[in-house]
Amino acid sequence: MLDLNILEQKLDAALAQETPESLSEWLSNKRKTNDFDCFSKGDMVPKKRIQGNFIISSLGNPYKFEDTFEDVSDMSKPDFSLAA
Amino acid sequence: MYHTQEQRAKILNKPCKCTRDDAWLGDGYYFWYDELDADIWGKSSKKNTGSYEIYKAKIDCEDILDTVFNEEHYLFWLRQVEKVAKKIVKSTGEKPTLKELNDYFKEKGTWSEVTGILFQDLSTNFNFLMVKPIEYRLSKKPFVYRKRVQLAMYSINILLSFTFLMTETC
Repeated sequence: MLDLNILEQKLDAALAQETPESLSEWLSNKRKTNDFDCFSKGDMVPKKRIQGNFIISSLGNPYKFEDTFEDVSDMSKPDFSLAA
Repeated sequence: MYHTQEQRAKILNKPCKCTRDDAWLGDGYYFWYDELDADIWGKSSKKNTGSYEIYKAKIDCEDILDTVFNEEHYLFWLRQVEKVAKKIVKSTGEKPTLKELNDYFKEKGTWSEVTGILFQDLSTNFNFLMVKPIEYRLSKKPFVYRKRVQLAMYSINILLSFTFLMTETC
């Protein structure tokens, strides 16, 4: 069971130590970090398999078709694999 | 509680952590209280693979802050949100987001004992309301009588069980 008094005491102690500078710095750092969150920290899960790659090569046939399988993640959909 | 995700190649054995910047209460595992909301969320926001999955979870709610059904917790949480927000606005001239406030609680207030927060908003999807909109003169106003309740779970240790429930197409 949560003790709300203890939670409030801890929060009040933290707030009492704050200055306008410390809070501005904290908020600024938080927003700086958040700018990168749009790229997601979620695990990317392979969602497609493609067959065949065109390999551009300076030797022989410049447009050689190489028969391979490759797992790819669709980076154009950064929301994929996120929760909520 | 219910957890919605895009359909994957494999059934999940644990929920996915949400780290989106617009997650209301910060990084955590998000669950819907009601299966209907889990289903609506899948249809509206988990469309990337064409299908979505719903998982059912049992969670130990002993140390969660219940701002929906527990009056004491709600009033406490409201007071802390407004207290910290007021101080931030006074110091920086900017309003914090709810996520930033919650980060402050966790980082500076060191609320490590809080294992999750139960919170609510009101659905913006009016199709599922069973009550006729309020009509006044020429306007019709839906009355959103149903709470949309979510849990932001911070500690995976309070997850007691997590089982696959169903797959649906979007």
